[in-house]
Amino acid sequence: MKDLKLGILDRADDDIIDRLVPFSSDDKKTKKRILAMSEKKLAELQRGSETTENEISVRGVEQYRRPMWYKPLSIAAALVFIAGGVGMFTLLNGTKVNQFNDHDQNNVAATTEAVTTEVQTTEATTDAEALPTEEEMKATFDRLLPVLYESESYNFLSMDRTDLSGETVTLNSAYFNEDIVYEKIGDDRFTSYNDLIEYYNQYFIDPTRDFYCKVLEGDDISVLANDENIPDVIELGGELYIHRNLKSWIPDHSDIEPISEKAYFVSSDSFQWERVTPAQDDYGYGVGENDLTVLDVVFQKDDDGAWKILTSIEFTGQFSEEELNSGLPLTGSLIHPSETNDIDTNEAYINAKEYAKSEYDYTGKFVWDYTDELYEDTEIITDDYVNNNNWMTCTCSDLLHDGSCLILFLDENGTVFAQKITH
Amino acid sequence: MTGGEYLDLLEKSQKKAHEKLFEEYYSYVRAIAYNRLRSVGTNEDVEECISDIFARIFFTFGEKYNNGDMKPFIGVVAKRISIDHYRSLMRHTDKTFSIDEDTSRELSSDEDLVSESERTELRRILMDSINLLGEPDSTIIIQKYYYAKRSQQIGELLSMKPSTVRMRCKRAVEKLRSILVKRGIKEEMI
Repeated sequence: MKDLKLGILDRADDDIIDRLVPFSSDDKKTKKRILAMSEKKLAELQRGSETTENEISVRGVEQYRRPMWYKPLSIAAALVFIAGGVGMFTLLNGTKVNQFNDHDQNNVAATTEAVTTEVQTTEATTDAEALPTEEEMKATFDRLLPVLYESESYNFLSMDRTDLSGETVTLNSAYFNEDIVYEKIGDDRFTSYNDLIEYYNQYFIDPTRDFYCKVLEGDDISVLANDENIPDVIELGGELYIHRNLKSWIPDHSDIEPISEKAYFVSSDSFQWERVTPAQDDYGYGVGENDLTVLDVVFQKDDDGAWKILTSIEFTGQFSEEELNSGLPLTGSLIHPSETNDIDTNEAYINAKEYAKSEYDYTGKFVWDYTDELYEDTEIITDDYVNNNNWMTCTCSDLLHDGSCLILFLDENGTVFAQKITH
Repeated sequence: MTGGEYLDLLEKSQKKAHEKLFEEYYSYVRAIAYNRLRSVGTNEDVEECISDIFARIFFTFGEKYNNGDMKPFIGVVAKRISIDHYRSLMRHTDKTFSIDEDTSRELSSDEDLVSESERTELRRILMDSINLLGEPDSTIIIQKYYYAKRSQQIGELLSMKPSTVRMRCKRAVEKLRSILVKRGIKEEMI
């Protein structure tokens, strides 16, 4: 997906600026910081400082933390790729690799293709490095799917978990100019936010990411009156309450026969499982004849080796033939859904493939990784990229026609902006 | 909040008056500053500019500027200071700029008139098209491609998971492109 540029909006007239105002808010932390800066500068103005206006604009902005999620990857690792219903990658030479599942649409028979390098390789032998089997992955998904549905905040509003005629608290939101009602949750397993997190810690790698909850000190809900973000769950006076008008993000299709179920990006401690079902009219808006509901869940092993949910996404809609046959997850790649890397990996893969084909007539596979630095002797191809050290590398698994090795660098939008060729 | 209400509150509590004014006009000031500085500065530069604007408003606004509605005063201060920052940033990058930056609308030829008129019309069509996407997609598009926010930040703003933001964003862009094409607008024009 090419980056959308909205430069024409720069230096616009007042009417356009007025239309941009509703989109121009910021998070509370940023606003608090800027207000503090303003007060500091005001104090200097009031002291009758003799410094010039430019000098008053002292840099007081805290440094933004750059993501440091670099994972080194050995280019010399050998891969075994097994095509078919599941994309699997064995661990060789003690090095873990990830690879986009580059399906050949015309070849449906299971094939095995070995890519060897100059480095001596051995097959994985330790239990810790063994890949999960398809049965194990399916069993994990089936076991944790009910937990995923149950944990969705909306499902706290079911009758057996919350007394909908019971205790409520009402937030008079000045920001939204309406009353927002919260129902007291009556689930015996937990009463406080800490209990909730501790309980779901059994099933989620980081349950705090799945519950948008605000813990209020004391029992005064009015502190949220001017908040522009309405939490799903609040803890008030040590009790949990759920927003009455929540919508469901993940419709429960556990009883619907799936059209397909497939694993992607399988490694010894993570995999992404995608389940496709015919779309249902879950929200009363109607569905198209060819609509599909796609649920992707990423599982990761915790420190004790137990499979837990890392993240999930659900999407209902239509998909083109190209998307259905791409061999990639329909919702995109969720693997490495770091809160900091935020790279459009699908776009990156497509662009890397196109670039390698057009520049070097390369149609082989890639090995990908993340990096926060450019390698020595890297050539910048274009200046039009996001220069924030949040990048991806795509290394050609095979050598180019002249025997050299190509590594491409891509930014968070999937733009190929640099390359390194070694002979 | 009117000018009179602000000044009354200021007498009781400077802190509360500033907080209330800041909260009410932050988005407006940010829209102006960002619109001016987006092409030449970083987010830090924009924040610096916004804080200068509010400091100047807090320092300057008094009874003599009070005619009820504070927005015109705030708008003028915001534009002036944004232009100052723009010039300063342009000087530091050794780029050339027009001395009459704030009077750039004084056009000298019919050709310029047509070009500026076309840009104005394109902006309007673009904003109309973005609004046609509906929420939250229009917010996602503006936050991601105009304000350069990351999916996680957008997710926090909209109470969505970052992965959902990414997915919606991809589809919103496709839909926006389709809308623009139907209106005869090519992507290179924007």
